[in-house]
Amino acid sequence: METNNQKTQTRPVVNVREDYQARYGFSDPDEYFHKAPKGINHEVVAMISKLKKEPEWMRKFRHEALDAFFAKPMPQWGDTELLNSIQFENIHYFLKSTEGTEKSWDDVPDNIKKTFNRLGIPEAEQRFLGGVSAQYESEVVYHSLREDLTKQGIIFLDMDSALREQEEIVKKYFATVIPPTDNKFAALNSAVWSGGSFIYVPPDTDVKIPLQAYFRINAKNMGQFERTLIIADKGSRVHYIEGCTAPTYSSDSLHSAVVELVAMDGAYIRYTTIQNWSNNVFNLVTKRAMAHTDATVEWVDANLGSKLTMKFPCVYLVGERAKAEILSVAFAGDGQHQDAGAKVIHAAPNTTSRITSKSISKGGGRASYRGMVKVYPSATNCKVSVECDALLLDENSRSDTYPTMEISSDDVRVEHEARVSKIAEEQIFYLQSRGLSEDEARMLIVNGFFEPFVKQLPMEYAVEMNRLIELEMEGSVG
Amino acid sequence: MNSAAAQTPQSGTVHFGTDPLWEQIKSSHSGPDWLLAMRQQAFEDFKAEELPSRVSHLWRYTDPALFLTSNGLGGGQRTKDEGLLPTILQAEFSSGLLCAAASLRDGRDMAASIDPKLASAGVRLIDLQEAARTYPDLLREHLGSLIGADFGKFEAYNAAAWSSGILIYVPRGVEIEKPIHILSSASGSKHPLVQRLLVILEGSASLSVIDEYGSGRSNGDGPSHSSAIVEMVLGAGARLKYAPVQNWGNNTISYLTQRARLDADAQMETVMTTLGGQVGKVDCGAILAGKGAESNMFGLAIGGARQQFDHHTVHDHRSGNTRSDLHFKVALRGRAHSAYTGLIRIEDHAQFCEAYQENRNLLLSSGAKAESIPELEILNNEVRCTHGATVGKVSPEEVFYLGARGIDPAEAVRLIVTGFVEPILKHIPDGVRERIHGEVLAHLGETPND
Repeated sequence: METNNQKTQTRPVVNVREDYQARYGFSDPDEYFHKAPKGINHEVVAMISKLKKEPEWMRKFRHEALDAFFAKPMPQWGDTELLNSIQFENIHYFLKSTEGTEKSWDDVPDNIKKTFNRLGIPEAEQRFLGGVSAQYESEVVYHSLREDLTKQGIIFLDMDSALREQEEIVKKYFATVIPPTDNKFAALNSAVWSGGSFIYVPPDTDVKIPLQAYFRINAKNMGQFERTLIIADKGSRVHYIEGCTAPTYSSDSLHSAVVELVAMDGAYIRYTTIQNWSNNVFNLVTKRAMAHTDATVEWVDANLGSKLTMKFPCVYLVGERAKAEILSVAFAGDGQHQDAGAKVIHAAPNTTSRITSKSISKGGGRASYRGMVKVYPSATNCKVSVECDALLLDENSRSDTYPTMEISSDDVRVEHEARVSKIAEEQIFYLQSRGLSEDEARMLIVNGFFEPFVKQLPMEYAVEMNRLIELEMEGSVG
Repeated sequence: MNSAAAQTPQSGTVHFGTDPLWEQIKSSHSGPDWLLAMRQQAFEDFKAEELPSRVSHLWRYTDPALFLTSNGLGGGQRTKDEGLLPTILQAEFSSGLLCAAASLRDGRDMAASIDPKLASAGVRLIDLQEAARTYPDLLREHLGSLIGADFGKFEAYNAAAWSSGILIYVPRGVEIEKPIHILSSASGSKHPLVQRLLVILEGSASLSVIDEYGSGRSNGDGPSHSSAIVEMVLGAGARLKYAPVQNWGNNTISYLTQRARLDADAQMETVMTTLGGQVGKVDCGAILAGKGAESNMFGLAIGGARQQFDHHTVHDHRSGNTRSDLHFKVALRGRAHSAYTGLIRIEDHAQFCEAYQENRNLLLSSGAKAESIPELEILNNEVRCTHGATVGKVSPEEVFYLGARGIDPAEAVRLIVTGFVEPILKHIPDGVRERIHGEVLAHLGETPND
């Protein structure tokens, strides 16, 4: 504990993810079953497809996507300086560490088991999850689904197995929400995708407990390109949670996922992400959902890690009365740029959307909210609300708000609000007058700031999240 | 700005990059040689610079190629203007509403009248090319200092090709109550109008400027293109009210770039009204460069038929303890389209700033479209900064309420819309407010022809 003297001298600092190295920073020795050479070309793509023994249509799809990747320019917006520093030729696009996906935890190779044990995956499964998928580098190494859920007809597979076992339904929906030509990184993912989750929930089925996937990058200069597709059939409900970590290397890794959600009439999907990559990971992810009549899609998206995150979860409201709710939380510390946000397209009448963004910047970090709300002329009687709150914890940090509203229907109500501020001295003073220390007061305020997000998480995650925030605040006491 | 212009497909359609234009610029130039050299440099920049990239949100909604024209410079024979003010200005000036009036017609020299008392107090209202000869030091310091040829392609074009302009200079401590009214107009519509305004207020001076373009949409009066650059320099403690009114005829494509630089404790109030033209782009900004500077901006854009507006505002807080506030309102009928992008930037060393920004859009027909991008870039934590934006139609509840008071729906909508625009209009300086008010209501009252 510091002395009072120090306390008055140094402003309490919130230490974002200070213990990251200790908790997640470990790495296993590189021992791989298959390791593609660095760089990207048609041979690597052909190799991936061949190793996976994929059907012809998927092989063709990959090669076409690779051409799209080569043809597409880098985004000319956002943090172009960081984006242009990505060395595509210096990345391994495929790493396979085991021969197959294990259904029993005991069969997972020891080194990988150790990794996930340290991250608490099997424990979490035992406690409350309906199904778990653990991806190590390019492929899913462990996978299980509770028996009662299997009996209900719920399909929860890793994407590679799904392509083998459920080819028909995969082929029907794959890349229908996000075509390979959508953007450069979606094209790259489409070419070299490996792993990820596939979920199908039959009509009127309520998956009462969350399904979870855990993504881990272990190797240096690794590119992880998982592909997730969730289909909630008519009137069904599902909640999916993903988490991610990686060791801290001096050279950069690339994570570029594509996540497609299809919520059929009356269905409900909630997709929760707690992104906690190490500070050397470029996290460039395309996430999009289709919400049909009366469907609801919720993205709950927390970005704590990575060097640069560019992620704007999107919902297309294509059926009447469809609803979108996006909750985006970002914490940008030293050397981090969290370029997060949300995108909602209103393409049907009586649709509603709500976007809530909360960000904290400290220690020179930069948090940006970048959002887009578009209302088409046919989308009458729509309601849109966007709220952005940003907290700056010191004078070196930066917060940006870049919302875009494109409204082509007169029968709408669109509201946008943003606030940027620091922690008010008055609030701290007030709490101190109630006997709290300055650090406790700051922590309480930061906790309160993130409250709307934490309260959306399942209990176990909420506890974990609160603990993360406490850790962030710890530095001020230490 | 817009240096990321590379790879724009339209760049092949540049027509102004030809030497005949330079010949025209040279032959219509009547200022000193240093100014001609400045024009030449700007002309080279204009030719070298690509069109702005449409990837940038500042150009996403308006095609930059629209602002290029092959119509040359027009104007033709340069005549010393008859020195006559348009009747409307003459009437305002004679009835004592104004301290001065100036007119720029067809890109020729200025005609002006000024209260003699002001002239003897050192206030200057003179043609810009003439000023370049008589006050070279002042102009070399300030002309292009806020919006230089490096600002963007169209700014470079203006810096090379401007054919008429005005300098307003107010010496230290001179406070002027009545406004100056400037009216720019064109009798034909074949040529572009390229002009500049430079306003310099020394410390503690005060002034109001009404900067009106065109004399009404219905007159069909207006050039093919209008390019205007307005630079305003405010010394410590100076106060300036600036009211640009864009009221071109239906065919004009106009572009206005304005920047003001505020020294310590200077205060600026900007009230923009956009009514006319076919396509109108405005980039309006205040640089809060000295401690305690304050800028309040009010904007109103009324669109109908197929009018297309694109407004950008900037509040750049470069010094601590500065304050900015912005209210921008848009009402659209017919198939009109408005894009509004506004930036608040607070630099890392500019502590204890306050910034507020509000954009409201009222869509009065199903064919109307509004875009709103209110942006914040905040680089330090000792700030208070908020923004808000709304898009919607006239609330049926309000119409119902007024209906219950015996007001028919059409009249109710009219009342509500009037209530929407009034808080902005009331900031237009006395004397011309009533006329602009009338124009706004007339524009709103027209039957949409979509």
